[in-house]
Parts: sequence; C-alpha cells; structure tokens
Amino acid sequence: MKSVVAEARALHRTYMRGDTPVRAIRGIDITIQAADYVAILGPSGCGKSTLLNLLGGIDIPTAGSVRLLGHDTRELSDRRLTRLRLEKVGFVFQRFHLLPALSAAENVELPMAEAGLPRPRRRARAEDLLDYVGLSHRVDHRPGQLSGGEMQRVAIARALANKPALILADEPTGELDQDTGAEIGELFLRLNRDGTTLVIVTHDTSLARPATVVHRMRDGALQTEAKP
Amino acid sequence: MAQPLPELLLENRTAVNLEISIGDTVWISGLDTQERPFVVVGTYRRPADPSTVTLRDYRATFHLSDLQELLGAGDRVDRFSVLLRPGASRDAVIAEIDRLAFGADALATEKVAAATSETFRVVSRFHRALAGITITGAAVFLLCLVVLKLEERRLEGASMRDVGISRRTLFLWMFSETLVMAGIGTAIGLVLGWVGSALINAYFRRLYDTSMAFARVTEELALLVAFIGLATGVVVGTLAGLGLVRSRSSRLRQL
Amino acid sequence: MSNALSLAWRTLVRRPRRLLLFIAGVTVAAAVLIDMVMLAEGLQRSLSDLLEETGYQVRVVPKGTLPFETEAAILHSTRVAAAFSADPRIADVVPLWGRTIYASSPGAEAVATFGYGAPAGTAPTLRLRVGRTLERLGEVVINRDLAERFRLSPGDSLLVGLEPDPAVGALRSRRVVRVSGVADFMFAAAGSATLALTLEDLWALAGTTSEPAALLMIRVAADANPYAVARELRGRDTSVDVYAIPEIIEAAGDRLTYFQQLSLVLGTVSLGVAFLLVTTLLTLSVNERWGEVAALRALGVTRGRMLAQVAWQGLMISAAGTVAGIAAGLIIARYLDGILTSFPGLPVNLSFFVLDRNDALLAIGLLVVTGLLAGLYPAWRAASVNIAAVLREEIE
Repeated sequence: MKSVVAEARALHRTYMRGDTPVRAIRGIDITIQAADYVAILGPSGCGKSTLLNLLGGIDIPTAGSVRLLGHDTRELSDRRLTRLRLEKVGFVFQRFHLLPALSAAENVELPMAEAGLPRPRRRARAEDLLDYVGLSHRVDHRPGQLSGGEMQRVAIARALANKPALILADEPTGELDQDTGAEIGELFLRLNRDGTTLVIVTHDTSLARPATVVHRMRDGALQTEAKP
Repeated sequence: MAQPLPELLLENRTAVNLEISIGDTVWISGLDTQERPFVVVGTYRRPADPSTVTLRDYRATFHLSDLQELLGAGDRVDRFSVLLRPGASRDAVIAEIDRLAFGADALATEKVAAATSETFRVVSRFHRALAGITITGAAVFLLCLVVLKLEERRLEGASMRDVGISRRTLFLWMFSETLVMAGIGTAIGLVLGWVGSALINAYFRRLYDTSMAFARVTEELALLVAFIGLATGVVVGTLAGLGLVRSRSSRLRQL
Repeated sequence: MSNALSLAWRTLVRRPRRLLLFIAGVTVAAAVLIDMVMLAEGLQRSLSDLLEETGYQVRVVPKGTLPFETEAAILHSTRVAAAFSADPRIADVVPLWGRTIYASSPGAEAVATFGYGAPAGTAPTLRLRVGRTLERLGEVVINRDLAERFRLSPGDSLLVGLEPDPAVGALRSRRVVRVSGVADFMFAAAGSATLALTLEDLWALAGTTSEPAALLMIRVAADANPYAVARELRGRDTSVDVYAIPEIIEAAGDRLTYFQQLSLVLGTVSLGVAFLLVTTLLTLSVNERWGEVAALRALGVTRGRMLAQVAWQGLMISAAGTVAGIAAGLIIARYLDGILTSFPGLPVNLSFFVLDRNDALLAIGLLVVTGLLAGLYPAWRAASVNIAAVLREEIE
C-alpha cells in the first residue's frame, strides 16, 4: 500500500479581498499518495492555487486540516513549517520566480544552501539536476539569458534540489507556448516515472492527460475524481 | 568742598558679574598708575557687534580725559573720527592727513568697514561652501527619488506609448511630477529654514546676551532658495522625462 | 549568514547604476557627517595640540580673561613667578607679555607688529627657523614675514619703538636691537609681522616698571598632576585664573558654540538623509521583488534569513557610502578648513577640521547603525510577506 504524502480533510479557506470575504475552498477532502501524479483542473478563480498553497503549507486553512508528511500544518510554527517546505516540498510557479542575479546553477543551489549542504556537493547536485532537465549547457546562464521553457526547467530543477517528497506546480505551463508547454509536460511525466509525487494545478488538459489522478474544481469544491 | 568723583558707564554683563549697581564707587588702576575711584552713573548694553559678540571681557566707558589720565597716556588716542564739511574732498583730506601726520593712516569709512568685516566674509564663504554641498546632496537625493519613480513607471509608460500617448505627454507627466516634488520640498525647506532661524536666534541671543540676529530668512534668500530648488527640479525633471520617453516600449517591457 | 550576505550582494548589484546613485547619495551624507564630526571639536583639538606643544601644562591669566584676550595684566610678574617656582611640583614658570611694537629699518617705513616679551633663554611659543633664541638684552627674534619685509637675517639690526609720535616725526621710545633668530610664532596670525624681545627690553620700551605679564606659563614636574597644581594655585591667588590646558579649552568653549551647533544640526540632517535614502531604496527593492520574496519564502527561506538579506543590503549601501564618504569628507574638510583658517587674526597653525580616531569611529558607527535601522522596515516587510496572498495576487 502506498504511503500518504499529504491529505486534507473538511478543508475550508476564506480570505478577504478588501472588505469582501472570498470563500476560496469549501469543504474539500483530498489525499495525495506517494508517486501519484495528481492534476487539478478548473476555471480561473475556482480555488485551485489556494488548494495547492494549503497542501504545501504556504497557507493555513480557515477550518479543517492539512496533514503534510504526517504533520498538521496548523500546529507547526512558521519556522518548522518553513523547514518542512524546504526539505520535503518542491514548488514550481507559473512565473518561475528565479533570482535574476543568480545563474541557473546558483538558482538550483539556493534551497540546498539554505538547507546547509556544503558548496561542492550542492554544485555537483545542481549540475546533475540541470543535466536531468536538459540544461547541462546552460549551467552558468542567468535567467535573463534563458527562454521561458528553459527558465521553467531551471525552476523544476530547483524544486528537486532537496529531494522533496512532493512537488507542487501551479500552472507551470501558463506562461509558455504550446510546444514548450508540451516539453515541460514530458519532463513532469519523466519525473513521476522516476518516483516523484506530483500535484499540478493547470488549465492545460495536456498536462492532466498522463496524471494518475485528476480532480476538477469549481467554486472551491472538488467536483469529480477520476483515475484514468 | 570735595571734588565730585569722575564718572563711568559699565557694560551690563560687567555690572551683573561684578555685582556693581548704579551709584556705586569702583576703584580702577592702569598699568603703572595708582588706583582711583570712579562713580558708576549708568549701564549700557554691549553694541550688537558681531565681531565682539562672543567675547566675555569686562567693559567700561570713561570720559577720554579720565581714561588718558588713568593709563598715563598723556594726550594720546587710538583714532580720530573725522567729519568732513559739506563739499570737502574726502580723498584730498585723506592724502593731506597722511602727508602731515607721521605714523597715522587715514582711512575712508568703507575701508575700515571692509577691514573689520573680513571675519564675516570668511563666515559667508564658509556658509556658501556648505550650501553648495547641501545643494549637491539635495540634487542627488532628488535624482535618486526620480530614478526610482522612473523605474516604477517604465512599464506603465510603455503601455501608454503602445496605446498612442505621445512622447510629449509622457515627458510632461514625469517632468511635472518631479517639479512638483522639488516645489513641495523647497516649500517645506523654507518653512524649516524659517523655524530653524527663529530657534538659532533665540538660542544665540540668550547665550551671548545680545539683540543681534544670527540667522535671517530674507525675501531675497527665500527667492534664491526657491529658484535653486525649482531649477534643480527642472534639470532633474528634464533628465527623468527624457529617460522615460527615450526608451523604446519593447525594451521597457523587458525590464 | 553567508548565503544571506551573498544574496544581498547579488541582489544589490543587479541594478548597478541605481546602486551607484544611491551610494553617491549616502556618500554625500556621510561626507557631511564626517566633516561635521571633525568640525565639532576640531578647533578645540587643534588649539589643545598647539598649547601642549609648548611643553607648559598650566596657564595663569588675569581674572576673567583668556590669554592675550584683553590688555589686562598680572603685575609684578617676576615676583609672582618666583613664588610659584618655589612649589616643588612646578618645574618652570615663564611670564609672557605682549603689546603693539613698531619696527623699522633704515629707509623703510615703520610697521606695527605684535611684540612678545619672554625671559631671556626661554622661547616656549617659538619654532626657531634660523639663528638662535633670545639670550641677552638687546636681541630680537622676528618672524618670517618681518624678515622678508625688511630683508633681515640673524646679526642684522632693527629699530623698534612705541607708536610714531607726530610731534617729533619718529617712533616713541625707540631703540636698536640685533636679530638673533628668525622663527615661526605658534600663536601669531597668518601674514602678521611678529617679533619677540626679552621681557626686560619690552618692559623698558613700554616704560613700565610694574613688570606686567599677560600670562604665566607653568611646566609642572614630571610626577605632578597639572589639574591638581592648577586647582591649588587657583585657591592661592584669587586675582588670577589658573587653567590646565583642557580647562582653558573648555573656558574658550563659548566662542565655539556656533561650530558645535552647526555640526549637530548638519550632522543630524545628513544622518536623516542617509536613513531616508537607504529606506527608500530597500523598500522599493522589496516591493519590486515582492513575488520573488514570496517564492523564496515558499521554497523554505526562513523569515530570519529574509530579514537578514534585506538588512545586509542596508548595511552594504551604508558601508560603501561611508567608505566613499570618508574620502570625500577629508577632501571637503581641507577645502572648508582653507576657508575658515583665513579668519583674520587666527593663529596660522590652527585647524577647524581635525580627524580624531574616536570621533571617526563614532561617525562610522552612526552611519552603519543608520544603515541597519534604515534597512529594518523593508526587511521586516520582506520577512512578514503573506506568501499565499502575494502568489495569489500575482496570478490574478
């Protein structure tokens, strides 16, 4: 039986937009098991990203609970939650969020440096990871010198830096053209086949196609769950 | 019948520090002369002379003959003040005195004033130098703020160019904003300067017991400050405006 | 920490032109602060050094005056000096007097000079350049201005006297003296003609028999404390004021209030400007990188590390501005000192801007602390970013 990486029970999240409360998540139950490839589909504003943030410990539920690798995220201090994210969760953002002042390798090294890995080891691992995502020839290039697809590959390598138990990707192909998006999709599939647990929030149905679990969201609730 | 005592006037601070009142008799001696009594017939405030305002010396004013006698100075004086008859040539009188009076220099009033005001010319040069440094600092500060604004506006500017807003409008947008910033800064600076000068005067008048004004925001000075402030705004605003309109919109969006 | 430091550095240099402009701003502020710190106590330090250089640690002056401030004198100074000399803690006492003396040489017009009188064999306020000091009556030491004016060198004669007497067309009480040396007078104003006679000659020239002295300079014995000696002498003779050197500097402090106030005001303003510059830059930098900051926090960078990264940036800008500001400040100080030392009557060896190690460290410390404090607000903003809200707003 596969172990549970993250699970949410009776999850609610309401936040304020100005004076108006927005009920982004309304009573969601979800379980993410090791080596799953989970895709969450839904229209803009349905609460997909909020769910992802809750699962990754970036956000704290208004009601209900999220257990991330056995820890209730509401019960962890900010410091411990930050450490848990650093060591066990990898994030891939729609806008990449690479540090423009750092090279590709240095961006990948960043979480390892934060975790205290010695420089020679993290450099070697960063080069291995960039090789894995097909960027061995771009190790010393800065984000400004890379294409959108290449930047997202660097971001994926960065997410893998500390060998996380879970990778959360929020619209990872949202800023890319169709061909480049497809390449990133293939990379995710390869990652999952190599044993990485993936949760991807996307509009892009081609990214959802290879998923082992697909959730559809509408108005803060999971409507369907399918296992192709 | 006894001779009345010679009279003198005491400067206020001297009278206060030595605890002497009007009507008191004081005994004073010269370098090689016997002590002799004088009666204090009045006190006076030290003239508001910037060149002596910081001195703490004691002062008294005598009749000339009494002082000459006290010092054993015979009929010697330090200087004469000469009032010319209407129509007399000052230069001719000066030349004549220089020719006749061995060891004496005759000086026109403005020459004396120039010689005694050298201290203030030095202070003035010092203040001008400080003002130069301050203006440089203020200009750099304004430039920093404008550069930040410019960077903040670049994307907006690019979008506006794309929808057809003219370079002229963009330039005026940045230029007028900088000018307004410089204007507000100048106005606040003038108010602070005015408050500062009042505080400075209050402090130093109390310290030196004088009625002198040590700092004064004159109309000319306020106009000069306003001119410099706004001129700095115009220069920096022009640079900022040009900076915004000269970049191509495609390049702006990359930033 | 090194990670935060390295990130702070890399982030700053990302926009080098903007960084340089802000460092230039901090540099101007730092330069003004350094100058004001130098100015605040500069003249006192310079005067103190000059007084110390004479080797005499205590000054005795007529009550209520400072040396050569007025024509007030201590009478019968030989007797007073002898009485002081009897104290075993006192190694030497030198009376000094001064008054206007006219000097003339054949074929040249008489010029007014400041004439010092000092006992033969002593020259505590002279730096001899040529020849020797006063050793016997009838000798004079002149300064370089006078030597150049009359083309005099040791061995030449000089006519000295009191003011010109128009009645006889000659200097009053005139006599011929022989130049024994040419010297710089430590307390003489730049460009002024100055000479020194033996005290006895000066008294005789002035026609006084009361042996006046403008001040007595006292050198205390090696094991004696100048403060203690000054205190006791003050109690012994109430007609005089007695000062150890720091006390005389303090007594002259009123005259220098202007510079202290100016330094305080301008120094405070410059710190304020530095603070505003650093805060503005860093706040904007954090605002620009809002998404990046949120992403870093999401990736596992702690609040403390985030705070440190921005605080380091504040420190780096202020440190760079401080280093450049010290250099600029020293150059500006030379320029400003050149203006202020042209005050008429000011001793040529005085400076208004003196760099003291402790004060320099104080200024550097103030700038660094200002940089740190200025970085705190933007650092706190970065550290307390609401990660989810920022990431959500970015997508929206």
